[in-house]
Amino acid sequence: MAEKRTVMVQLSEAEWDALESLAEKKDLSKVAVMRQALRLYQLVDVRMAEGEKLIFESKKSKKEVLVL
Amino acid sequence: MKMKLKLSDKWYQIRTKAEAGCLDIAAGMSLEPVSKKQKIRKAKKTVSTRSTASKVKTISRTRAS
Amino acid sequence: MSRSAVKILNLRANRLVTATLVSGVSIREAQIAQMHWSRALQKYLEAIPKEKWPEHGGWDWEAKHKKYGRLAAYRFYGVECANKMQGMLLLSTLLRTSRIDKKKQIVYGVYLASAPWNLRLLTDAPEYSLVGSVLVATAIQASHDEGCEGRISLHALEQSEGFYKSCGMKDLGVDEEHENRLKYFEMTTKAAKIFLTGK
Repeated sequence: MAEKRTVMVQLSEAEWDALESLAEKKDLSKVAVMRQALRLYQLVDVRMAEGEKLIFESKKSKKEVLVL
Repeated sequence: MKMKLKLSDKWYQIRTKAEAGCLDIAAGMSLEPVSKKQKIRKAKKTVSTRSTASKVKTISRTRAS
Repeated sequence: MSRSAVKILNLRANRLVTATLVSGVSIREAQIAQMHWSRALQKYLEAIPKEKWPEHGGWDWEAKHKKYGRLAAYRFYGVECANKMQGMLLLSTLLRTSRIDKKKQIVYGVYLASAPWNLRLLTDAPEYSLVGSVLVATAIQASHDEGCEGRISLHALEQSEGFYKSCGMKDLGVDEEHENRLKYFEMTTKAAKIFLTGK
């Protein structure tokens, strides 16, 4: 973990807009947002690969299972 | 990730006083009291210390068989 | 994984001793720590009434490492001294929104505990103090590294609430969402600075 690697990414306009908007909303740098995205993606992927389901719930609607 | 934590001598003094009366420092997103498995282990040990004679008998019977 | 020197207080000798702050505790280290901790805990439990058993007595750090250690969002820290792990912290860097300042992100302390032989809850003669303070300082440092300016949050166990208040963390009351309805605490950037520097 002590070693850090650099990666260059080319983003579409929609992806860039999403990145800018999240960085502003969360008061984080764009790099920090990209790191968050990767951590969350890995977490969801590992747990779903083990047979778990990702569920969203709101006060108005019933539980909604998000199949990725 | 290399930590850059630097704590002064004064910090250690202040925190020594602050921690003096604390019973515990635990924090967690869920509690897990001592499990059944741990309780059972404890119960077994109590039985064996209470009756050394019966424990010996059990062992010798096992050896005989 | 990295190691750096910190100090903790040897209560029996009443002097500060050098300990190692382990950033990125390995599964092997977690296994050994769990073995030491559960053996010690068993001895204490036999001597104290059940009502006084710690509510976190069943935490299994090896199992926690197996569950979270493989994920980039989580980090394990430990304070090692006298060849034993004296305390451990599992930190989530999957940032959450601060409940004090909803525009800011915060690092969450998933689990934090000291070894059983360091707890006044279990023994009248604990071995080391300052383990908790060093781990809170570690969490604050990690928060800075993540761009969260020292903000951290956690759910304190009832008998540990006093400790987190002593760190300057704000008690935001019982969290109804928490499965055990523990109190939720947050440390602001200002409180983190005061905790680390005294001003």
